[in-house]
Amino acid sequence: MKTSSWCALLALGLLQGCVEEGMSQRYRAERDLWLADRARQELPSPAGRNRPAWTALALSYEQIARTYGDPGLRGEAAAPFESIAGRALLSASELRAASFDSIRSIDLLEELAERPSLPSSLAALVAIRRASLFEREGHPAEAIELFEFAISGIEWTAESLPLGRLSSSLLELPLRLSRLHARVSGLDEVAAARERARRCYAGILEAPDVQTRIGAHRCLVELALDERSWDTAIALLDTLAVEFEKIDDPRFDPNETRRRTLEVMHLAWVEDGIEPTGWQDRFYTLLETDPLGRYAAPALLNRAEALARMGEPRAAIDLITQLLSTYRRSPVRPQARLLEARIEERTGRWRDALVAYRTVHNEFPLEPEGLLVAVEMARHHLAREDWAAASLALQEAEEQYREVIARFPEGPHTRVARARLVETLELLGRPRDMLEELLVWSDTVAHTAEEITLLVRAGRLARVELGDRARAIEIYQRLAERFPGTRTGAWSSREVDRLRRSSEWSTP
Amino acid sequence: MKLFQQLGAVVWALRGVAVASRDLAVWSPFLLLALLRVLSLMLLLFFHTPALIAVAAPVVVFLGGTGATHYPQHLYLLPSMFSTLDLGLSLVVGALATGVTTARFARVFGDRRARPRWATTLPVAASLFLITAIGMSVDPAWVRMTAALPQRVVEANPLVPLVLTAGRVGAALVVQILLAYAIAAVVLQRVSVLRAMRTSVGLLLEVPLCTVLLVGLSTLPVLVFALVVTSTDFSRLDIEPEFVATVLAIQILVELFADLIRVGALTRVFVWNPGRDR
Repeated sequence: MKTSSWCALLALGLLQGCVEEGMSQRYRAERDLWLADRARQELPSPAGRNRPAWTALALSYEQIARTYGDPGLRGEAAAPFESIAGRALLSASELRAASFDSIRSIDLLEELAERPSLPSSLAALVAIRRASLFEREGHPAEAIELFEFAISGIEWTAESLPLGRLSSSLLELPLRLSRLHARVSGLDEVAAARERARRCYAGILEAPDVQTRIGAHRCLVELALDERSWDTAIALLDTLAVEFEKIDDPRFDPNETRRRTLEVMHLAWVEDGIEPTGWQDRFYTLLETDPLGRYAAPALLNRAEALARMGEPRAAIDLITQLLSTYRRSPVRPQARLLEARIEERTGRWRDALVAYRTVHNEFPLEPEGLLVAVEMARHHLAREDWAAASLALQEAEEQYREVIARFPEGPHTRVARARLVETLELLGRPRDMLEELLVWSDTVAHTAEEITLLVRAGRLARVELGDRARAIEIYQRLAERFPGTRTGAWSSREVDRLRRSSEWSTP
Repeated sequence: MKLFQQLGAVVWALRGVAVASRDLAVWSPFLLLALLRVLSLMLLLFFHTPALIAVAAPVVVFLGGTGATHYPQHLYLLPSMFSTLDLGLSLVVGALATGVTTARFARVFGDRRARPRWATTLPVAASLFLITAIGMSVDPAWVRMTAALPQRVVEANPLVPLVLTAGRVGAALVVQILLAYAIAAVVLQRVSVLRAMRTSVGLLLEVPLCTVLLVGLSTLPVLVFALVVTSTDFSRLDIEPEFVATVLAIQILVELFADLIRVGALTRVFVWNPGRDR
């Protein structure tokens, strides 16, 4: 063979040495995952109504994980494939969970957790998702174990953070864990969890990424609030306000810290009954920083509510009057008016209360507070055992809610009206009408979590209060068909079987 | 020469190019260059296919780093990788193709001394490379020079980056105008590089408006296109990453036509030699 041929072969051999093992396959996997991620951004919402599209994309993600998850490589060469397969399975699980297929979602998370060489950042995310599911389903011990695993995989120092930042789900981890401990563990464990959380956040307070820094600071405020260290929380909020002034970014608004400070003062006052010297002055100084009432008006309303609870109705009414005259465009005005009416009612001034209730109804007829008035008035008559007035008020309320439902397109107004109508029918003692309304309401929120709640309620009403087994079966069957991948769906199927069996027994 | 005569010369030169372009022989050198550009683009674009990976992946790693082997970063880095590869192609093949095309146009325009073959252009290849290299070195030199400016100077006024970009295009254009006829002088008169540059400047002074218009009309779109492609961060645009390759393919096509028009029109003016008429 000629020298030039040898040289060409040698060059080709050297070039081959530069090529990473499995590069071609890895590139295809990255492209498939990118395309799936892009398709995910364009998925129609909500997931419940567009379940076929969401399920199809979840299947595509699963397919990516199956195709590239086991490339037949070992060591470092296999790591990118592991990461791609992990991300694909995680996305598939998220899509399944969003489209009410929680059973498959959990299966996928478990499959992910069992992968032997899952990258640590991904393993932490998987652990958080699984822990969240356990937490939601009332298994705190399992959730704590998984959170502990996730937290141990992260080094909480500014230098060791990946890209100088942490995602919000990882950032909140120590705080969530300490709160979970507070629910189920002993005092010592809770204190230890809080101390560790504090250390974690202190370690990343100097992180290069501003969002991580601010996020850590906010979590420290939350920790202080969990411990009822009001002074510490306010001092931390003051430091945060100084930080915000330095950052030229609309996401970090100093007004947010002022609003939070007012809330902390309110909490301290309501929960511990303390108002240290100078706080009252500070409270009013902070109110002056907000002439539009974005946080000052809710703060005044909170204070009025607290004063009313503490047995100072006149002081509360004065604050409400101040709120209504100062902040004429505040969105909390309906709540303030309703509170005024309730305070007057509670103090036995029914005539003034009646005027206030009518004002709420006239000024804000479509706000939730305005729609509540009719039922509130009926409840008042029921409490005084004035059956005739109560019946009249309830009939008026029913008419009013039915009119709102008929006149307006489906939206927030009709949703509130439907809720109040069901409440009114319950007070009127018409469970069959109530059942029909629940079913109509559930149709308007089809394929959402709200539909599940409404159908469960309707099924229970049919079975327990009406004793209508056939109707209950029909409702549970609908629930099982609409949400086959959820635990509630599985429970409804079992309930249908159970009711059918008992119905066969009772057939003569 | 009077201004309106120079404007007339521009139209006359462009019409001459349109007529001469019917001859495929005139196209073939730049077609070859375009073909090589397309092949190099495909090499970079399809580096990940099993058939090319052994040869193309090291080139991609060399030009764009290991990050360039990942999707979609690979496609976002494609313009910078391609422009580096294209630099070499333009210097070697582009210089020779310009020389051969000049000779072929000159032949069509009536210069019987012109020798329109690749082989007959090779003896002046060194001069062609040198002139092409001078023309091509302006842009990187400008970029290096402006990169040395302190950041506070650049950020002091929003107009500064605009002025720097305009300066970048302007500098490249000025050098192209000064060297407009240098390649024609080397190929058709077989003179040294220095002599060719002097001839080019002399002819430029005879027909300044005509030269500026011919170079400007044919070079400016190419310069602006290349500038936009290399300075755009495609990852921030809501597009399919593969679209970057389409943009580069269009750039190759634009350059093919622009090169042909520029070389043809300047050769016609050179062969006519307006200074001789006076």
